[in-house]
Amino acid sequence: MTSVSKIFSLSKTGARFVRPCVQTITQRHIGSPAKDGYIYVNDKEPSMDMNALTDRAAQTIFFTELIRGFGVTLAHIFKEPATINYPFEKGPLSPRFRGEHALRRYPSGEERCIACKLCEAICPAQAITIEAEERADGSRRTTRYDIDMTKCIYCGFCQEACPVDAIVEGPNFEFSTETHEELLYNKEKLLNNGDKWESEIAANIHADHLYR
Amino acid sequence: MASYFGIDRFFTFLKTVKDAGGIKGALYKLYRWIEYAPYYGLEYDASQVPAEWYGWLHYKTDLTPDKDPSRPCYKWMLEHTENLSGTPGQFMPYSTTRPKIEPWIPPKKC
Repeated sequence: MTSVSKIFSLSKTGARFVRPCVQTITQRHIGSPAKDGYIYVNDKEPSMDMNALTDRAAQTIFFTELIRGFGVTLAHIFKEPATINYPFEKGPLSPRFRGEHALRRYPSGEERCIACKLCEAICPAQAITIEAEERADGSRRTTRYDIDMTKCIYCGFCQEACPVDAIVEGPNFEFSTETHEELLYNKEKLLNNGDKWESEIAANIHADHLYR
Repeated sequence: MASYFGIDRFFTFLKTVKDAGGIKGALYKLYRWIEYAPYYGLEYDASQVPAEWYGWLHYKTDLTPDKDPSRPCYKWMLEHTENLSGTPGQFMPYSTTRPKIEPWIPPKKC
């Protein structure tokens, strides 16, 4: 109840209502002129009577506002555009960018993934599903490596967890699809991604090799 | 005002231009620009740019792929394809494992 009555008493004085905070400052200083070498250096409080107030408001609205608006327009002509012409021009990208996933291969063509399931364990969204089996030559390899790209949050933990640099988040971000199921990647798709993007993935890893 | 830098396997020009339109082009930096091959018509898409050019186009490197010696070229690397979503060539997921439950097929009585 007290706060309500305070607001009411504040609004009773019109000028105070317009600029309450500035008013209180000047009230303190106007009473003390330059005695004892004290000079008030802040902006002078503009006159707040009705006449001066409406004059200032009219000037701001009808005259200087227009000129200042044209000034902003003119400045923007000379500014560098903030937009890019996307399909023809693309923005800068970091080598650490985390985009579409890919499974890499060794230079011999052998797939890197050894089905250690560290990526599956660390994935916070539980988007990765792995099943492993012994291959015909006795090596441990995955038979299923599914990533639900619609669950994935692109945190990059999988590529950090991977001991053999098999699963990486490639640079590609242009893999949007029309249907949901196209984003449920399986092992074949991930390996194909790796084969397609190897040039760029290797370049990114090389660009970052000092920091790994 | 453009200097041609290369042409990829799909006959798309990739070049740097200093031409953002009007006087701005003369004042500011160089842009890397894609001129899609004419046979794409209006069906151009940013995913049509092959992977080797990707880094150059995104200002990651100043070396075009023909001048970059560190780019690998293995025989198992695949040809780049554009994003095939919405076309007959789109990816459809399938299981890469044997099914865990196999149905019992009743023996035929001869």
